[in-house]
Amino acid sequence: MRSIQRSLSLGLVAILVIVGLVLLQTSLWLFEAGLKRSLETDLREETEGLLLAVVRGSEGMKLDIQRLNPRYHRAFSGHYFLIQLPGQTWRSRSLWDASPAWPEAPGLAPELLAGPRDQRLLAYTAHYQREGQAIVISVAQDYTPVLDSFARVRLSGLGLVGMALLVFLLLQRYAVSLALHPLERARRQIAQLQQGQRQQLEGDVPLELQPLVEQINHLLLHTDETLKRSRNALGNLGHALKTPLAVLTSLLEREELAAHPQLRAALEEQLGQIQQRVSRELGRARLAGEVLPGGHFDCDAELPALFDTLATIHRPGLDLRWQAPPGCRLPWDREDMLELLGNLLDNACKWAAGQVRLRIERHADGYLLLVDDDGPGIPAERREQALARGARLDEHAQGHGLGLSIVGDIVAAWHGDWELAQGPLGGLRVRVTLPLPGRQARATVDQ
Amino acid sequence: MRATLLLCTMPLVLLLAATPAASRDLDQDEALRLRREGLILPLDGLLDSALARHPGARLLEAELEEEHGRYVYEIELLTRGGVARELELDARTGEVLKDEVD
Repeated sequence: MRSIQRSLSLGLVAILVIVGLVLLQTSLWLFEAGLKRSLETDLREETEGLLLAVVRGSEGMKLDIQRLNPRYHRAFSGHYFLIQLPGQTWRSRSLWDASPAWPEAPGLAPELLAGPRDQRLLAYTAHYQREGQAIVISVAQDYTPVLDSFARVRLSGLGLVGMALLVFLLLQRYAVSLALHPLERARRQIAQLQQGQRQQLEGDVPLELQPLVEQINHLLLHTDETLKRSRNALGNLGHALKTPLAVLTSLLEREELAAHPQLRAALEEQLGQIQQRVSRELGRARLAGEVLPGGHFDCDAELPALFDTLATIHRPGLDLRWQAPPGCRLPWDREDMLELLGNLLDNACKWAAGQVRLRIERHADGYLLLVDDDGPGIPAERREQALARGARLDEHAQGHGLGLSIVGDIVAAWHGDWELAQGPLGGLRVRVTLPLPGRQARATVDQ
Repeated sequence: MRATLLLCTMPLVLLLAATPAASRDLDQDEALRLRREGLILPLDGLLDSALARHPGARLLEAELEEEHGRYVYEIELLTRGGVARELELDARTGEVLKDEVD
C-alpha cells in the first residue's frame, strides 16, 4: 500500500544522499587542490635550496653535501631529488636504486609518480640557469600519507552523512506524523461513521483537508435526504392509494354487484392483490439496503422497549428474555431491525406456551440472531414450506399464520440467511445469519 | 644523529672508495648500476623480506657494503616496539646473514 510517510522518506533519503556525497567529494577536491598548491610552493622552495647547493668547485660544478637536507640521505625516506646538468646527473641518496619516471616539463607533475616502497610521489621540476649552465632540478615527495588521510576523512564523512541521514529521517518521521495527525483523526472519524457512532465528520480540520471533509459531510446529508425523500414518496403513494382502495372495497358491497357473484369475487381478489402489493412495496421501500450512519440498532436501547411492548400486547405470564453481547450495536437500519425482530418475536409469542428467548451472538464475519419459543414448533418436513410461504407472499393470502414475509424480505435485502429448526425449549427456533455489511461481497462470492 | 655522522663521513667514504679496501660503502649511483646490471637485488624486494621478519617495523637506514667481493646490505629497522635492529642481507641472494638488536 502506498504511504505518504514512505514516499516522503524516500525523497528525503535520496536528496540527503546525493547532497551529502556531492558536498563531501567537492570539499575533498577543493581541500586537495589547496593542499597541492601549498605543497607546490614547498617543493619549489626545495628546488631553490638545491640550486644553492650546486656550487663551482675546482673541477667544474659540484654538489655541496653540507647544504643538503639530511632526509635526502636516508634511503627511501620519501624525499627525493634529481639534478641534471649538461653531462652530469646527481640523484639523492634517498632514491638509492629506485628510478622513478621524473617529469621533464617544468612545474608540478600532473600525475603522481610510482616510487619505492609503494610510495606515490608528488613531483616538481624547475629549469634554472646558473653560472651559464642550464640546471634542471626535480624534487619529489611521498604523497601516500596525504592520500591515506583523505581516505580516512572520506570514510568519516560518509559516516557523518549516514548519521545525518538517520537523524533527519527520525525528525522527518516525527514531523510527518504531526502533520498527518488530522488525516489520522479523519480516518478514525470515518471508521466511527461506519460503525454508526457518528453522523458527520468534524469540520475543524486543516485547510488542506477542509474540502474533503466538507464534501463528505455534504454527501452524507444528501444521501440521507434522498433516502428520506424516496421513502416519503413511496409512503405518500401508498397512503394515497389506500383511500381509493378502501372506497373500491366498499363499492363491492353494493347491491348492484350482488347479482354478479363471480364478478364480485374476481374484483375482490384483484383488489386484495393490489392491497398486498402496495403494503409489500411499502415495506420494501423501508429497507434502505446500506444503512445510513447513525441509524444502527443499539441493542441496549431498543430491546427493552421492544420487549415491554411485546409483553403488553400478548397474554400476561409469558416469560420473555433476551441476551446480547454488552454494548452490542447491530450495523443495520434501526427501523428494519425492529421490524425483523418484532415480527419474529411476535410470532414466537403467539405460539409460545410460556417462554420466548432472543439471543444475539457476534461472530467473526457477522451476527447470529436466535429466536426460540416453547410452542408446538413446526415438523421438519413442513419447515421448508413455511419459509417458502413467507418468501413468496403474493401467492398466498395475508395472515397465513407465520406472518414472516417481511422477515424474508429484510433478510434477503441484507444478504443474510434464515432457517427454521427444532428449538432447545421444545418449540420452534428461528435462526437468522447476517453477514456484516462490509463482508456482503465476500459472502455472495462464497455462495 | 646517525645521519649527521654519515654526512660528515661521506666525503671520507668517497675518498676511501677510490682506494681498494677489504670493506667499503657503495653510494646510490653504484647501487643503481649494480641493480641494473643484475649483480644485486632491488632494495625494495629485500626490504619486503626484511620487514616480513619484523611486521610493522619501519626502515631507518640502508647501506650497501662490499666485503671481500661480496655485496652486503646493512639494514636498520625500527620495530613496532621502538627497538632498533640491524640486519645484514646478501645483496645478491637476499639471504639473511645477521639479525640482531643494534
